[in-house]
Amino acid sequence: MKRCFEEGFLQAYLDGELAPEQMSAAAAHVAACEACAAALAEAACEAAFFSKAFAPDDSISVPTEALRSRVNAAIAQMETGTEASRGRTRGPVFGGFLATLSGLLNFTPQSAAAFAGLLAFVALAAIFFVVSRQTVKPTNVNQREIAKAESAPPVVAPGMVRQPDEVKDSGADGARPSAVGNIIPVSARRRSRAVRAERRPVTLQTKGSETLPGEKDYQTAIASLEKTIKLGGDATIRPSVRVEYERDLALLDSTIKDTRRVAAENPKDRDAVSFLMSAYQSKVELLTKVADQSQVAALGR
Amino acid sequence: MKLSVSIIMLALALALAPKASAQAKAEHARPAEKAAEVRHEGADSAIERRADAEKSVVVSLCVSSGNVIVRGGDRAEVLARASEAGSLRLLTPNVQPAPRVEVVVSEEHDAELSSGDCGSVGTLELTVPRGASVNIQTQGDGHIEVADVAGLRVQSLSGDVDVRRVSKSVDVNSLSGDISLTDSSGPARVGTVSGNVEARNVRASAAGDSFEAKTVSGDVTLEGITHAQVRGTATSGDILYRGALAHGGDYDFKTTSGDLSLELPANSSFSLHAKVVLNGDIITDFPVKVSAGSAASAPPGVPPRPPNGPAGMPPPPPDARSAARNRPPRELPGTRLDGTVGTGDAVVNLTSFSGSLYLRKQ
Repeated sequence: MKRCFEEGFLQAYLDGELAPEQMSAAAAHVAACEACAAALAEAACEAAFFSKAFAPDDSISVPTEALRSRVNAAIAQMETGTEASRGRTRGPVFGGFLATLSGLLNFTPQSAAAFAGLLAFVALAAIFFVVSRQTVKPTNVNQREIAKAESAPPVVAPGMVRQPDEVKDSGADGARPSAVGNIIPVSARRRSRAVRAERRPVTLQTKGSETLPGEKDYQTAIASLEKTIKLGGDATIRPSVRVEYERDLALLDSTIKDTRRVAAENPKDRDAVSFLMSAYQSKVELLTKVADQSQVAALGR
Repeated sequence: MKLSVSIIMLALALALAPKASAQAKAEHARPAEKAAEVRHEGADSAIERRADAEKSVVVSLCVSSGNVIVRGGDRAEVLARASEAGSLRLLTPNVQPAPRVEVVVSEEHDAELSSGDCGSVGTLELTVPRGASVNIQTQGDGHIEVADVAGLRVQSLSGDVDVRRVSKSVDVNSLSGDISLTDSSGPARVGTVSGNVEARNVRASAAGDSFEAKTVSGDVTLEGITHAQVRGTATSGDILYRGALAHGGDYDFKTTSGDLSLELPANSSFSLHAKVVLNGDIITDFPVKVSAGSAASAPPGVPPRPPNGPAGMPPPPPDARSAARNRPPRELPGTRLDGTVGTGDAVVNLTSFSGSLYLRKQ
């Protein structure tokens, strides 16, 4: 076993100040080391005491880490935009070119009438082009959808709310547990596409092994819940809850890793696979509770 | 011109008439609600509220932190008492006695409380009719105690939950904190992530009633459960079931790395399906008549156990341990035992990934 952590390190872990990899390592160690777990619980009690004592001060609104990062991102974007606009206004050559063009805009009445006629013709042509494109588009889409519907197997049960990518991933997997359709919380379903695009794949599975039937859905749900917790601000979780949450999460990750190894070697052993799915389900339930709590706390901020 | 003006006036009058009548109704309703509430601010700065309620009233409440104590009583009323709180209100529909009561509380004085509010309190004590169904939600630390009500549903974040004498149904879910359920009846479901679950003397009130207990890192202890369908699940914790099996009952227990123990009367009759997926032992005091095809690692009835041997949670008694050590090494990592004890009246499924399974005689 690794050496026990010092008090300062444990405090930083409690406060969520460690790097992600350090957080995971600390959580794993604390889950296995009773001495560190006791020390952490004691530190958590102290933190809870102080947070209660300083509750009036904490109630004053201060920028959160998430808000700060959004502000920084916005500033960076503005600076980039300013640089770009500077680049656009920098060249005096472009202004000179416009000045030369202004001479061409001095029309006689005859040439003005001719120019207006030309403009009207161009406008009509543009409208015709746009309208013709709009009438063609839907037919193509319909054809594509019909083709997709003919080729896709009927894997979606009635009443399930599934994302299109999830339907595709499940493929011909008939062994997918029916409960999977109910594990994605409403809050997770409401997330925007932008958030989903940022989702990183869960790296729990063994390298080189294939995903087991039903596993992908759990991993998707877990990733979205973790994202929800992160967006809500995981620092909003109370210290006493946070300690147990981290321990349980480490325990479940370890369980998933162990059961997955056995299930991957014996994919036909229903019990082995069932233990893996149970571990995933427990993790989903834990994350759902914490995500709900995190959102409630974020709303209260 | 005159005609158009009169039409406009008529339209305005028609549009405003329903609002005026609704406003008048609301003004009638508010004093009725206030009359049902009595405020007592004693020396300990506790606030009290009272509302007449039906015997089967549904009471709901949410606290962000603080203890909650609910007691069933004989009076047809809901009486709430909040300590270390700024405001307390009982929201009821305009019907007397009220079929529903929502208890809302806030740490702020004279707060404008409305449905769905969830504030903090030192301790919130409720006295409700015995036939009441109570829904409690907590979003922070705080213990919950409930006794002598008909139905209970709890969603708790952190803190212990103690439930006694609930007559119709129980559903308790907690993130961290122990759950204790005693002397109750009806379908029951209790689950926590990092706490222990203890249930004692819980009876089924109908044939289809089921009992379900679940935890991740805590232990599950079940004693005196009379439901015909019992399910227990733990990840790293142990499971202990102590008591008789119902005739025709269905028992399903599952642990990932914890041990699983059943302490049953010596005359128990059941069919057994026990399996350890990876490593762990199956040790039984009962003579199991092994089914064909079952790869039993432990011979039925072995090891024998003294009649008055120690009983409790794992680790197993010394004789069982020595028997496990003396057993020849298994070729396969998993262990399985399918068979029948007696005439096989109940069905018992025991599964563990890497824990051991124990079947002991009481």
